[in-house]
This record gives sequence, C-alpha cells and structure tokens, in this order.
Amino acid sequence: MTDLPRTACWRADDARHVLATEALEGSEAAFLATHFPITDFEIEGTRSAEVETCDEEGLYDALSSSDVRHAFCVVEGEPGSGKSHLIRWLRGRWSIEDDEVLLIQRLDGSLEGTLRQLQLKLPGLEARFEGFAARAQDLTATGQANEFFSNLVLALRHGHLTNPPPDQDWCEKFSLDQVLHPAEVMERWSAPRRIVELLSGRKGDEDRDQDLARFVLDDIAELEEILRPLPAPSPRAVRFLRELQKEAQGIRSLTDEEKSGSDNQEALRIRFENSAQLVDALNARRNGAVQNVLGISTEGLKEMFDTLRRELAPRRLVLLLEDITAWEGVDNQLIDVLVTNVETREDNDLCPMVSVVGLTPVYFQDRHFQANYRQRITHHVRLGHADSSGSFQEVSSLRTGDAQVRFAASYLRAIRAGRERLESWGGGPDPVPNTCDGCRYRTECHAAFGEERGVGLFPFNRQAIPELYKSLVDPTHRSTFQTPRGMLQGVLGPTLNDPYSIAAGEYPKATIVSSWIPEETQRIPTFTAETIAAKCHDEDVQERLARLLRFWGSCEAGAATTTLDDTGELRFGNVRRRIYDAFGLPWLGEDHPAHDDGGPTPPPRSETDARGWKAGDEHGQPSDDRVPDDRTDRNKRPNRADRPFRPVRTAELRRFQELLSRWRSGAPRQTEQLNRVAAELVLERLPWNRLDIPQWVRTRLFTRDLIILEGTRQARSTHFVLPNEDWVSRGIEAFLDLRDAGSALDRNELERHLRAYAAALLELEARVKEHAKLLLPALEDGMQWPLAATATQVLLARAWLRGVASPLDPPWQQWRNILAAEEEATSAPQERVDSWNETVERTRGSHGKHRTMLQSLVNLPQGDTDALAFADASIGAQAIEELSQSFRLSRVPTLTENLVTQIAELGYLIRDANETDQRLGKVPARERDRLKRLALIIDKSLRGLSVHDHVQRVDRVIEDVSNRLPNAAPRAVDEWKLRKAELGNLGFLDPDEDGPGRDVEDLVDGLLVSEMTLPEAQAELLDWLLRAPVRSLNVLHLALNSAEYAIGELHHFVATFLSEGPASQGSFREIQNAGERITTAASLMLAILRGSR
Amino acid sequence: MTEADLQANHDTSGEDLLEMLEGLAVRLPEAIRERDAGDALRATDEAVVQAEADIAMLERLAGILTLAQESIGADERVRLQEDVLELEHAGDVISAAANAQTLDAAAEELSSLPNRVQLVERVISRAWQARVDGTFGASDGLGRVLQEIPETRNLGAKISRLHAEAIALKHRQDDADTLAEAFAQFQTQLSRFHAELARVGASKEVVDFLVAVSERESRLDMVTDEVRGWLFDRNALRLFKISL
Repeated sequence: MTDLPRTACWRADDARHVLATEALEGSEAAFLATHFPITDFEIEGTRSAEVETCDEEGLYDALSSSDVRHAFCVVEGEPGSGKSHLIRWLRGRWSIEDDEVLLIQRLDGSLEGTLRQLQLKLPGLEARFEGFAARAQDLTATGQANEFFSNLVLALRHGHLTNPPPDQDWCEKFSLDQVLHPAEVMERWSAPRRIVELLSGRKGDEDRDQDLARFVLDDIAELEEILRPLPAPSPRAVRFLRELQKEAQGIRSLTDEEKSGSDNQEALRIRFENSAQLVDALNARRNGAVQNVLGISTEGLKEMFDTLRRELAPRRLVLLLEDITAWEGVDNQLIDVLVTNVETREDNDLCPMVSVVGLTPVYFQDRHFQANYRQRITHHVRLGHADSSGSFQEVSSLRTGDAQVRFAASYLRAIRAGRERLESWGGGPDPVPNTCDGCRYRTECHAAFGEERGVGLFPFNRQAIPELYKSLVDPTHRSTFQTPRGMLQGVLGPTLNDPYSIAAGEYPKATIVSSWIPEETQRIPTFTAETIAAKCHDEDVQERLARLLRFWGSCEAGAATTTLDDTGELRFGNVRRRIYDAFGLPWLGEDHPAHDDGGPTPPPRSETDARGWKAGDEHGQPSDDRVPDDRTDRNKRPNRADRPFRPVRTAELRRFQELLSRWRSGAPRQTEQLNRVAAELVLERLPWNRLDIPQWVRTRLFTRDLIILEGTRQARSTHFVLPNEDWVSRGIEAFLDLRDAGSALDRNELERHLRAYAAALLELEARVKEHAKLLLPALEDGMQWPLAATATQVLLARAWLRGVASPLDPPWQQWRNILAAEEEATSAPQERVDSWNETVERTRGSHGKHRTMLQSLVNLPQGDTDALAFADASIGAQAIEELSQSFRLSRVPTLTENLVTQIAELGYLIRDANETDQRLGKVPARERDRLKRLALIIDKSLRGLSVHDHVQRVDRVIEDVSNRLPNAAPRAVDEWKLRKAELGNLGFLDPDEDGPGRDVEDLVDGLLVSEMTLPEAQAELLDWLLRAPVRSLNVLHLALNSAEYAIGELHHFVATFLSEGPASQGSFREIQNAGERITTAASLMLAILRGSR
Repeated sequence: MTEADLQANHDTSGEDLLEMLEGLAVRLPEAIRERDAGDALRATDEAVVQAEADIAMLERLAGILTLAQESIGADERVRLQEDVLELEHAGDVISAAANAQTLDAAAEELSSLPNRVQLVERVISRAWQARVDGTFGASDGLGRVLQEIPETRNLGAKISRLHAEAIALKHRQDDADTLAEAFAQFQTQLSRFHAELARVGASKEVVDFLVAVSERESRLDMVTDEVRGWLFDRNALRLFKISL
C-alpha cells in the first residue's frame, strides 16, 4: 500500500478565500502569498524606453521616478489576464511618501459605483459630488433606459447638439432621429436597457466582466426586426432600412466566434457598412446621453480633478484605475483628464500626475480611442500576445507549461496554509508558509504527483495543470479564458473548492471539468474508452478514469498500455500507478510492462517528441514531470513520419463504416468525428502543390472547421461541403482502410479501395479549385486575380516612396527588399509633396499583412515546415517589371461586400492597390515641381550669396536691430535664432566645401542656373528625386522663410520707429519756472527767519 | 512662405527689404539717443506737474511764516533755516535745467521735494498754531467766567464765540493773506470786548484779575478790596475758590 494522502490537505473555505478571483477581493496576505510576478510583457508608448526591464519592477521604477511629472500608462489585457493584479501590486509597491496614491477598483463595474468610490476617496472634495449623478436615483430602471434612449434619438436630430459628431449629416440624410422615434422602438429594443444596466451596475460584475457598454451589430439586427413593419419617414430612410435589412440577415448568420476578435472587426465593418455606421453614430452619442440621464455635466469630472490637482500641488497624484470600462459614460472626459500633461501647460497650477489604467484589447481597438488618445500614451503595457488565431491575446506570463505550474503551485501553497496562518505571516520577510514541509506524505506525494519548488501539486500533477488550462475556452467565444482568472476559476477552483470529493472517492469527479472545457476536448478515443470499459463496469468509475487519462496522462490509443518508468513504477496511460491508488481508482494496466525486455522503454527519437513533449530524463523516459512545450507545439509541425502510429482496430473501422452509412442515409451521428476524418482527407491527402491554390488561400479557406460533410452542420458559403454521394463515403472508407489496415487487406479489397480513393481525390481536386474560385474575388472579365502580383506592386510602390528601394535597382534587389521586414524610411516621405506621404501612409497599417500574404503566396516550402524558405521570384519579377515601366498597378477586382471573413485582408489589398495606383504615377512630377518651386524661393532668398554668407548677413542685421530694440518683433527673432541654431547643428554654417549648404546650392544651381535636364521617364525621375538632398532643402527653406519673415517684421518696426521721431518734447521753461518759484519761496522764508523782513 | 510672400519682401518699394533694413539699422543709434533724451525731458516735465502741489504749499508757508515766526523756538529756527536753505538750493538746481545733465539733477531734486516741503511745513504749522493759541487761548476762560455773572453774561457769551472762531484759524487751509486778515480782525474784536468790560464798572484791577483767572494765573494779592467789592456787589464771590 502506498503512503499517499487519501484526503484533501486543505479546507474549502480557505480555497474560496484565496481563490477570490478579483485581485482586490481577497486579503492582503493572500494577495502577497499568491503574487506571481508579471513578466515578459510588451511595452510601447512614447516613453517606453524608460522601462528598463519588461516586468513589474521595471514598470514601477519607470513610473515612480521622482522626475516623472506626467505619465499616462495603459495596461492592456484580456479580461482576467492580470491587469487588476498588476495595478494592485503597484499600489502596494508605491513607496514614495509625498505621492498621493488613489486606487479606484472596478467593484460592481458600474459608473455609479465607481463615482461613489471616487467620492469616498477624494480627500476634501465630497461636497463636489452632491447632486453629481443624483438624477438617476429618481428614475426606475425602465425610466433610465427610456430617458437614455430619448436622449440618443434627440442627439441624432439636426441642430440638437452644439458640437455634433462628424456623422451628423449622414444621420440627417436618413432621418435617423425619425426612424428611431416610434414608441415601439423604445418599448421593444433591448439595447438601451442593456447599456444602462451595465453602467448602473444592475447587471452585476459577474455578468459584466469588462463587457463594453456599447451598441454592437447584434443590436442593429434586433432593431431592424422591430423597424421592419413600421412606416419609414422618408424615401431615403426606406432605402436605408432596406440596406439594413440585407445586412441584418448576414449579422444574424454570424457565429459568436466570427463576431469576436479584434482582427475581425474591420472585415465586419466593410461587410456591414450601414449597420456599422449606425453603431458608430449611436456610440458617438452614448456618453452625452448617459451623462444627461445621470445628471453629470461634461465638465464636472474635469473640474473635480482639476480642483483636486490644484489642492495637491506640488505633491504628485498617482491614480490607479483598475478598469476603464467601469467609467464608460464619462470615459472620454476621464481620459481627457489623464492625458492633461502638466509639463505642457502654461499655468503651473496643477500637481504632477501619474495614471495607470487597465483596459481590454477590444476597448483599446475602439476607433475613438485610437483616433484621440493612442499617441498620448506614455507607457503601453500589453500583458498578452496575439494567439495563433489572432483573435485573443495569450497571457505572456502564463505562456509556458512551467509558468502555469508555478502559478498554480503558489495558490496550492497559500490555500493549504489557510487563512489564519497567512494572516499571521502577513506578507513579512519570511517565506510563505508551506505545509508540505511538515507533511508525513511529502516524499511519496511529491514523487507521485510532482512538486514545484517544494510545493506538492497534489491532487494535480505536472501534466494536469497545463492540460486543463489549455483546454479552457469561452463558450461564447467573446474572450479567452486562458488567463490567470481562467486558471483560478476553471482549473484550480473546481477541484480545490470541493476537497471532500477526494475522501469520498469521487475524484476526479465530473465537476472538475468546468463548463469552460468543451465536451469534445474531454472526449477520449474509442479504443481507450473500450479498454477502460473492459477493466471496469461501474460507469462513474469509467468516467473518472477517462478524466484521469485525459488530463493527468495520455488517452491516445498508443499510450493505453503498461510501461515502466525510470523509478521502476508502472504506468498506464502515462499515469503512475500510485495516482490510481491515491484516488481509489482501479489499476488499468498489467503487473508488468508491455515491452518488458528487461530494459527501459526506448526513448523518443528527439529531445522533443512527436506530440511536442519534452523528454523526461536522460533516457528519454516519459515522466509525469514533463510539461508540454507550447513553443515547440506552436512553431513546429511534426513530420508525418514522426507521428505515432495509430492502429485503427477492425472494430473501429466497422464503426466508421456504420457512421458513413448513417450519413449516407441522411441520419448522421457523431458528426464531429466524421467531419474530422473528412478534413484529414482533404487537408493531408490532396496534392495541394499541384492545385495552383496558394498556401495563403488554402490555410484560410480550407481549415478543419470549414470542411464538413453535407448535412452534418448548417453550411454557410465559407464551408467546403463534401456532398452526400457515394464517391465521398467510398473515398473516406478507402482512405481509412488504406491508412490503418493497408497491409492486412487482400488484393481485391486493396484494388477496390485504391480505385475509390483515387476517384475521390480527383473529384475533390476539382471541387476544391471550384470552391476557391467561388470565394476569391476575380477580375472584372472573370479572369483569375494574380494576388501575388498586386501584393508585390503595392509593397514595391511603398518601398520606393520610403526610399528603401529604387525603381532603378536590379529587380532581384527590389524583390528582396519588399519581402524583408520593413526598415526605417530614408526618403523622408513626410517632407515630400502631400501625395507622396499620403501614398505611404495609406499602407502604414496594412503593409505587414500584405507582406505576410506575399511571403506565403511565393513561398516554396521545404519539407513540412511552412516557414519561408525559397521565394518564387518568377511571380514577382513580372510585377516589378510592369510597375517600373508604367508606374501603374495591375488590374484588381472591384471591392465588394461579399468577401468572406477568412480572406477579408484581400479587401485591404484591393483598397490599397486602387489608392496606390491613383497616386503613384503623379507623385514624381509633383515632387519635381515642388523642388523647383523651392529652388526658386531659396535662390531669391540667398540674393546671390552662398548659404553661409547669406545666413551671416541676415543674422548680423537681425542681431544688431534686436539688441538695440529688444521689443522689435521678438517672436520672429526667436524663431530665426532657433532656425539658425538648427542650421548650425546640421553643418550648414561650416565653411566646408561638402556641407549640406553646398549640396543645396548645387541643386538650386542645377535646377535654375545650369538648367539641369531632369529625367523624363518616371522611374529615372523617382530615382533622381530619392537621391536629391530633400531634407537639407526643406530645412534651409524653413530657415530662410523664417529669416525673411523676421526681416519683414523688423523692417516694419524700425521704419515706424524712425518715422515717429523722438517722443513728444517736454518744456525746459516749465521746469525752470518751477525751480524759480521754489527759490523765491525759500528766499522769502530765509529773509523772515533772518529777521530782514 | 509662398513665392508671393517672398516677392513682397523684395518689391514693396522696388528695393530689397534686407538692404533697406540694413540701411535703417545704421540710423538707429542716433535715433535711439534722441528718443532717450526726449523721454528724460518728458519725464521731468511730468515730475514738475506732480510737484505743483508741493510748490504751492511752499509759497503758502512763506506767507504764514510772517505771522508765526514769533512762536518758533531758537533751536527749531536754526533747523528750519537749514531746511529752507536746501529748498533754496533745490530751486536753483531745478531752475538751471537746460540740457541732459542739468535735467538729470533737476529730476533728482524734484523727486526729493515732497519730503523737504513736509519738513518745513511741520515746523511752520506748529508755530502758527502756537501763535493762535497764545493770542486767543485765554478768551475761552474769560468768557466762561463772565457768563457766570448775570451782569456780564452776554459779554461772556460773545467772548466765548470769538474764541471758538479764532481757534479754528489753526487748521484753516486758506492762503497766508486771508489768514493774516482774519487774525487781525479777531484781535480787534477781542480788544473791543475788553473795553466793554471796563464800561460795566470793571476797573483795570478787576479786569486784570478776571483775565488772570481765565488764564489760571490769578494770585491772592490780586484780590484787592476793589476786586472783592466788585465781585460782592454782583454776588459772585462764591464763584471763585483758592487753589495752589
């Protein structure tokens, strides 16, 4: 009998206390005991360079430095990713005594709750809150929703707002205020009520969870349904409602997954243009409408903070705001306050302020936030990285299995220590109490379940924690649950909140698998299930065993065998026998290993085996201490040869035949399994290289989720549907038989299968091509659109205008430049003619996507990896040649709304290609003309002198006049001095022959005096323009402009001064008279005093 | 700057503004000197305007000094003389202002004029007040005494009124001539009242006694039989008491 715990070594109430998921709910001691350093985050922002290390200490050092007078730090992360944790840690860590530190929690997530909290925490400003947000208390929930809605409708009306949003004309065009006016809309539309409930906290934080209180596309679909039977106020409104009706159908057919994810939003905007614009219009007016309901003035919050800052000056205010969504309704005003930089204000009346604000990626991507505040973020901390699907951010600090285990261990230690012991420890310098240290089971327990820095993982093991964690999925697909909060609520909570199940022999019971772990993830292969069923007849125990193998070990058919590990312990399904014993489960294996040849089981072929597992020890023996290496898992696909052999037993083949037969008869079962096999056939067996479907297209239009058998799921246009026909069922059957039992087939059977398999592949090839053709946009004449050529030309035009390539460079060099990561521009696009910079700016946000697409389109993969190896230069060569010759881009399809979400990026490519094509051809001539104009101005300004001599001459007279008349045009003089200093710094005033001044003189001479012949051909002209000293020309132009301005101003001043002559004359006679009167009076007095009068 | 702007810098008068500015800059030093001189004269002129009240005060004080000089003590007279000498010097300096240097000196003297006038005013005002008190101060007591005696009650009231009006001269801001005229009138009236007192039987002894009493300088030896008799006849003995 093993010496292992049979009961839980913690208490449920301690678990509940420590696992309080909101960072601010639990006690200080629990917080410190479970604090998991936040590291490896990404940092951006205008002052990100101040953060020396990308961890919490680095951030603290940067923000708390005594010379920081203004900081606006944004902590971006998915809900539950640790934003609050980091912000609370900053609160505890902040040790600058003179700073006034205010922490505003999320609590119920409502604006009202947040304002109440602020009221309690703002010292001495309580009175300012009297009446603030008081109006809402007089209204019922329905009243608030109705008033909010009425305010919104009024705000859509022309002339209602003093500063209407820019879309006011659009709203008026379709009479939107009248469209929304009918009473039915107010009564039936649920969106206003939902938003008011979120803002008022009536929905509660559990339900809100950082949801944005905003209108979304679904709201428009609901609105459209309400509006459909109602009369429209105008013919234009009728057309608008018709468009809305069309779009609403599309919106309703979207899955949650398609609606979520920041990457999808732009594609949705293009597809549902009218609905998206209506959403924008409503959201743009939301804050004003909410403020009216709550009785908040738009300036109230700002005034309150300004007052506080005046009173605090010169101390520093540190404002830590856990969640910006809790401020929705006044969030714009709040952010206006936070970005007010005391360093740039003329009045030195406000105290310095450091603010740290938590927000989600969805909020961060909001158009209003992007447009107004993004550039003003001083420190942008991103707690996660976009995951492989691009939809959600993976939490950086929990990216690896090791980190997940470490995180869980800190909670296990704190929960076992219990509330009282934690409180008496109190976060002091001693280590966190670890009950494992004095536990009699320690040695055996740690050996069986694993440990992390002395903390036992019981009842989990090193496999279970990451395996459960990576299975977490938000059932609504609105966010990721693979976050610290997900770990607590979805992995640790279900087990640790129910310690009795271990003693009761029920562990691992069904409840350990939360609703966040999809059912399909929990399933185990049939073979393993049958093995369990053969050994155990109790269904409850069977299910416990299935969970054990699935999460604590391996449920793969190949692993369902008895092995011996290096400690001499037997395992089945890679789970140690002692764990079966500890949980009171029957041992599934034999009493000796299956390959018992007297030595250990052969090691995997490489350090990282086929499933991405790290080798356990020097023999490569599997071990419970192994952790899935996520990076390996992500970055490397296993070679087909390395994949474990998966024997499909005859019974399983028969079962598949039955499933296929049911499907053919129109009554499919186990459709997921069927579709998985169908996808495998399409994705892994078709000769894709021969199909002329680029990898970029293939990986988007043909994924496991998009390949389905007819009738197994509701099919949308994006699905590649295998028809319910014999060739499909026979092909799949043949595929399985040939794959899994090929050598056991007799000749006839083999021939029959080979024919069916070949026929299926041929048919699939044709249908795959047809499907791709249907979904990919085509040119106007129906011809195939050469994607790679367009991407090449868009990127090439950008590269030319950024100066990293010239149209005269050899084609191979240009090709290399556009495929490589973008370097810093050398052509100073911002200083060129407007259309030059506009063309570059147009692709600023999309060139990365185009480049990735192009790399994928031209990639000639080597081996099984998709990494860029050799690029097919033939695709690009012609595109480069054509663009260099004509400066026109190849034809592109018309941009339509019908682009499916998966290839929405093509919409950007079409848009960018069109805009680049419209501008590129005109850019060289316009820039040439601009240079000529500048040359003319500079030449006149120099008055025949060299740059050096002219600057000296101008400076001499400006200095002379401004010294004698300091009041003469002081701003113009200061501006000139700055410009002159800049010229000096850039070497314009050096007497060198080769300085920038000389470059400009040569250019001006060439353009004006020597009548230099400029190239006619656009490529040569652009090349010449790229080499022209444009920066020097612009700098000198600005300086000479400043000089001329100062000269003009000073001339006016001096001329006026001289024409006015001396100030009005006084009179010597008046003065002399006064003196004489004084003398006379004094003489008279003296005479009297001397007695002579 | 646009091409058009640049043209404007060159073409306003057919000349280059830079060249024009250089030309104007040459004229600046002399123009600035002239401006500075004008500024100084104007400033001094303004100081004269501001000093007008002090000069007028000085002229008034000269008139008052004639009336008040007897009340100035010897030491005070010496100090006053010194202060007036300084004023005389200041007047000389100011009246000599004719160029930049003398203008500076005049401005400086003008700036110290208010303090100097104030010093002189303090001494002469005090002397004037002493003169008025010395001449009319006793009338108040005499008037009150005579009002206690039925036969001289009306006369006493007149003398008291005279006293009140005369004493007000101390603080009147009239010019010196007006003050001198008023002073002389009040003196004449007082002499007339004294003569009226003699007409109601008051011999010189009685009048001397009553005046002495009013001036709190009466002695027992002044209470002669005639004085006693005059007071007894008017039932006024009880009005007097002996004091040290």
